[in-house]
Amino acid sequence: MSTSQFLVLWLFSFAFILVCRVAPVVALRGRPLSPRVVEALGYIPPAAFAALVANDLLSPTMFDAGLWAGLMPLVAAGVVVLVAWRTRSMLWCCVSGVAAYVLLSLV
Amino acid sequence: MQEGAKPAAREVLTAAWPVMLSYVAVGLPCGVLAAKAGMTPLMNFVLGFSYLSGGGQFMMSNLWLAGAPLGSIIASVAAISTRFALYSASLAPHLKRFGRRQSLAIACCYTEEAYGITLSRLASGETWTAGHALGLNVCVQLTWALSCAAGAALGSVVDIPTAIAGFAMTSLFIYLLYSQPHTRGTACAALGAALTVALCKWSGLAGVAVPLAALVGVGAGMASGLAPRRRNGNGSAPAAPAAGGDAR
Repeated sequence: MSTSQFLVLWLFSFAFILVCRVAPVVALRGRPLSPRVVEALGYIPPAAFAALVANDLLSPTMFDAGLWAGLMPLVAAGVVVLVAWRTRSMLWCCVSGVAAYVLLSLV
Repeated sequence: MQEGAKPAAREVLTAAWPVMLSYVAVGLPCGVLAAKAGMTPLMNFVLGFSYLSGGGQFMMSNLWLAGAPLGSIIASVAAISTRFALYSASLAPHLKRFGRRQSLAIACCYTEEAYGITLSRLASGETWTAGHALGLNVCVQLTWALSCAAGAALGSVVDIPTAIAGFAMTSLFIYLLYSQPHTRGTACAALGAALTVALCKWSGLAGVAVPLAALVGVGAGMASGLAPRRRNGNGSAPAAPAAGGDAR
C-alpha cells in the first residue's frame, strides 16, 4: 500500500466516521429520534458484524484444499461462540479464537 | 495539580485498565495484519489514534490483502462504521449536562468500550464528568494506537501467518455479534446479512458483499417486525447498542 493510497483510505474513512459520530450529537441535543429510525439504526451493528463474520468464514474456494480445510475455521468460530457464551469477554474470545485456529490447523 | 485531579485520574484508570489490556491483545495482531498490507508503524499509529474504528482497521487490511478495490474498501468500512451514529444518538441525551464543545469532544474520540463505560456511568447518575469521559477516551485510544504500531513493527520482522492474525479479527467480530441483543429482529438481521454475503461471493460480487449485506440485514430486521409477535415481545428491535462494545 503506497502512502497516497493510505491517505485516500484514511481521510475518506475518517471523514465518514467523524460525521457519524458528531452529527447525532449536534442534531439530537434535546430531541428524540423517531422510533423507526432508532429501530433501523439498531439493526446496523448485528447486520454489519454478521456480514463481516460471514465474509471471513465463507468463500467459494473454501473447500478447494479439502473438507477439513474448509470446515476448520467454522469449527474455530464455534469455539469462539462457546467462549463468548461462557465468559462474555472480548479478550478471551480473541485469545481462544486464535488458539483454536492454530490448534485445529495442526489436525 | 488541580484539587481532585488525582482521584479522578484513579477513577479513570480503574475503569480503563481492563479495556487497555484487551486493546494490547487485539491491537498487536491488528498491527501485524496491517504490516502485511504494507502499512508502516507510523501509519498504524496515525490510523489507530485518529481512525476510531478497530474493526474498520482490521477490515481495511483484510480487504486490501484480498485485492478489493479502494472504493469498495472505503464503502465497506463506512458501512460497518455507521453504527457510531447509533452510539452517538444514544449518548446525546446524556451529554446535555456538558457544554457543547465538551460533548463534541467526547463524541469525536470515544471507542466502543469507552462509550459503554461512559453511557452506563452517566445513565446511573454516578459522578462522571466530561474530564472523566475524555480521560478514559484518550487512555484507551493511545493504548490502541501504540499496540497497533508495535504490532506493525513486530509484523515487519517476524513472519506471522496472515490467516492466524486475521482470525483474531474474526473472533472479535463473533464476540461483537454475540454481544448484540438476542432478539428475533437481531437474528433476522444477522441471518439476512450472512446469506447475502454468501450469495454475493458465490456469484462473483465479493467486492460489494459486506456493505450490501449490511443493508439487506437491516431490511430483514425491519421486516421481522411485520411478522406476528409473541406475547413476550421477543421480536422487538434493539433500542440501543449493546454496552459490550467493540475492541475498538
